Amino acid sequence: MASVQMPRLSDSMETGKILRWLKKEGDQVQKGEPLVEIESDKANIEVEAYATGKLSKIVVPEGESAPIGAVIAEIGDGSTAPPADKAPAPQGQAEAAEPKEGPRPATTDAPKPQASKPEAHVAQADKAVAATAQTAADAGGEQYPHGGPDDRTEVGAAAQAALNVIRRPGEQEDGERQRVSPVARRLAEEHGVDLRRVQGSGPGGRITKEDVEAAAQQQTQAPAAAAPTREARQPTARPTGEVEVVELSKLQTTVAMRLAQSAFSAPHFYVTSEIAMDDAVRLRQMFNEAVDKSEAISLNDLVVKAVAMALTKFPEVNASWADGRIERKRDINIGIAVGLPDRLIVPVLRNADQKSLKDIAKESRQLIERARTNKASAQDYMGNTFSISNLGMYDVDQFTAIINPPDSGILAIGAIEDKPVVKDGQIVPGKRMRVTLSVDHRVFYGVTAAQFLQEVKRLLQSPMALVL
Amino acid sequence: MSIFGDGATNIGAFHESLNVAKLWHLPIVFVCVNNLYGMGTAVNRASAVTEIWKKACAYDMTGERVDGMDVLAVRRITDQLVAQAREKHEPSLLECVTYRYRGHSMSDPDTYRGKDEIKEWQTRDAILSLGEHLKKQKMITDDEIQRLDEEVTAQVEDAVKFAEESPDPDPKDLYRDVYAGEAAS
Amino acid sequence: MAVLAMRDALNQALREEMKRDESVFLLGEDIGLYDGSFKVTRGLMKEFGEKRVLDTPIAEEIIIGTAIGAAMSGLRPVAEMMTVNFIMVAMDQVVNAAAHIRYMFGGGTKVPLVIRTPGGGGHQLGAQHSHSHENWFAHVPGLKVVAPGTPADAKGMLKSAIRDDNPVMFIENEGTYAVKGDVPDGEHLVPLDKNEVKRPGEHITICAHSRMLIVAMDAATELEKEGISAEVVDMRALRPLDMAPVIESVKKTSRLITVEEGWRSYGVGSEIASRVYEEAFDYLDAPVARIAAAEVPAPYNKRLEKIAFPGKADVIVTARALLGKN
Repeated sequence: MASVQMPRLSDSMETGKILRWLKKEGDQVQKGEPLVEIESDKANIEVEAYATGKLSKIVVPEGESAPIGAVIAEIGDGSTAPPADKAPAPQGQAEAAEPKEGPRPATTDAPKPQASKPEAHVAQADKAVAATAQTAADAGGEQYPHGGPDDRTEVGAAAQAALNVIRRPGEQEDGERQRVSPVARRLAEEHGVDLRRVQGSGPGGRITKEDVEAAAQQQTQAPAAAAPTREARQPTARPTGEVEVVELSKLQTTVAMRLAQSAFSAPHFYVTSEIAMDDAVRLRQMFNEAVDKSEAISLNDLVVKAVAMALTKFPEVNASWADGRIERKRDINIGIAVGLPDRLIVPVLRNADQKSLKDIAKESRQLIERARTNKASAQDYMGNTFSISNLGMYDVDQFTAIINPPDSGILAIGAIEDKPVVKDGQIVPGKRMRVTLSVDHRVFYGVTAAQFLQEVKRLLQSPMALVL
Repeated sequence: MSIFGDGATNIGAFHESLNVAKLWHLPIVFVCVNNLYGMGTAVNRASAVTEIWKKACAYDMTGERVDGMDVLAVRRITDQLVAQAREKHEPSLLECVTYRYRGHSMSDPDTYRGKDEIKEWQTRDAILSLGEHLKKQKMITDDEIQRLDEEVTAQVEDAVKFAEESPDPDPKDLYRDVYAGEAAS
Repeated sequence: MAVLAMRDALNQALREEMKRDESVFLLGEDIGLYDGSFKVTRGLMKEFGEKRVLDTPIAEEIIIGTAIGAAMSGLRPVAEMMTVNFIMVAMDQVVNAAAHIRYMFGGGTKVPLVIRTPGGGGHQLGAQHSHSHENWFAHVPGLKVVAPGTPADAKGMLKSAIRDDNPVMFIENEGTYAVKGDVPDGEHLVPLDKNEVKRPGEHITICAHSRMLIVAMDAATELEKEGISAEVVDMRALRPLDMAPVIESVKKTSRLITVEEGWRSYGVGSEIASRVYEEAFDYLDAPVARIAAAEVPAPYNKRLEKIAFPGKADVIVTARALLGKN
């Protein structure tokens, strides 16, 4: 007894409707013979019998529907002998017309041995072809069946390698080496955050951007390094042991390294000059009387402007040593050294030659304020082509500074002193300021250095030129 | 024995293979199952030479053509060519002309040939022809053919059932056998 | 604006360009009478005839070789490799001829050729039929490589590719031919060298191309529900590789995931990651995470295949891990 089930005639079909039974109950059915016409969701299909026997029962009549897999008819144990009228008459011999080694067939058609013509077989093959075409139509012409929708919810092998990298536990070898992400490192430097005091929340204890940002927030500000005034220092308690070790912050370490590098690799020579600052001081006074306090200019601003203007005449000074070549920089960006209790930073005033004295004053004030309060950005420290360091407010007569890489020169400014000077054969009081230019001897030489310094002196001694 | 379709005889590797087989006297029988279509393209639209056996002459190789629907003829010629390969180390190209009833794959709409052509070839079906021949020789009866049919069907259904009911491989097996030896990728 | 399936957008592009320029012709296996094995070339032989839509024998080297010769002689062929898996037979033509000829001839000739070919897996077609080779081509100077992920980009880039005077590898995907999308009306051209943000976000950057773009977009939608805002950059232009939107994005998010359907080692993600390290090193909060097919020949078994190829679950879990939310 064989059950005939509702077949799946398309991917999306769920139920089928019996359109027409091609055999009646009691009829003999051959395997492969068309049995019933069924309507799927896409088309009407003639379905063949898959068993031979008597159609003993039609379970689902015409006009009714049934779900896929439901029994729609039964084919009983009918006789398995093929009906006599269907005995195929053997038509040509399969052997007769085949080619032996003799003459080859001249046509492109192969010889045709006639098999019997079992219609059922042909009909079955017919259906197979139709079924293939139907499946093709159902699939919308897709060449290949699909793997199905992206419904996997667990992570697969495709992501495993990436996850292994992300989740790698830290190799905390000697405890000295910290894992810090690049962006965290950069932000720490900018904000003056001591990474050794930061707890890393990333994989393997890595310090992340988030960690540094949080630390920067909490960080107590360094006691505001006041405007350079003379502060009276009180004697402090002496260390109890032989030596008191002061640990360096990351920033201090970096600065130390870079200065050492500069001092040891750039052959420094020094040129000193004494500048008459009478007119400059007077100009500054007049200027500051005329404007609001918030717009006051400092002596340092005058020096910055003078140096920037001089650099436009001496491009060979606005240059760097780079691996055996000299790179002359297009822009004139002046680094202004700012000393704070625990660090030295050099914010950069960009394109100083193109800015007015007023703008330079405003910008340098902002730069220094940002540097002091840890609000400087990376841009603030980048791109210097020449630097200035001023210790005049500490009564220093003169000093020699170490070049700030990648510059080739740095101008160290001393204090302005009232001293007796010779003018027109007479001894009169005058204001004098000593400046020392440190030079990377690989980039330019004594004469250039002297002439450059001459120009700076000239500008400061005729300070109206700076106002233009 | 290297078995391939008509479409494959137009690609470089086919010609390179026949060339070295002859050059090096390799015991190979190249069997081309020419079912007259390479996917959707008829042989006469893809190949300059439609009688595939003729391509052997370019390599001075034995070429033979046989009706692929005639089981006994195929066996006879194959015996001959296999003997030639074994005994004389001479390769050969055997073209078996046959037919594909259905599309190339499940998604082939099969619109590139007529239904009549398909029907005509079905009447020459290899298995049916052999059945008729054996019946005529009184070597088999209809009942026995029926029983054979059922047996084979059962075997196939068994195999399908086994495949469908077998468990999926373990995800760990994904990386098995990429390399020989212990080395993992 | 019309809603078109990828295959129809490509069909339109071919039709428009063939109408516009007589020198454009197509060649490939079963593209004419059969209407193309993925129906991309449906109706074209009927409309333009056998001289402009050439059904070839199954012989990849000769398809590409013929196309190269035709291109050098002043025509503009669009050759189809039925799937990218078969292109390996013709690699010598693609690299040693198509990619190198102009250079070897001192600029004295050009090869205005488009090779259209779908790659990808996930259809249980087995190891030999599931490759993605865009990284192989993107490695070669002289080739241009694009891999659009939307019907609009597919149409616009195919038209641009046909008009380009260089050999262009136009990477399609078997799994996206039925995907539908908006395609602008009228003449719609998309440049071959511009990547773009397909979905803006704040917390993490995801680079993906071709079918994986869809996977990434699906994952981003899911991630949004748990408060993770992912920016998805469509890497449709692989050679030249437009990194500008990626760098800009990484500077914002500090975290990057790349997704591709090819294998991980030496893949597209490797190149993207390298360039990010070069150009945005100081902006990264973690190493770049590369999601790609498991490094095995594609399995036949359905279950194994599903886990071997990237799905949206992979992107989601990786995004969470990268943000420290395990």
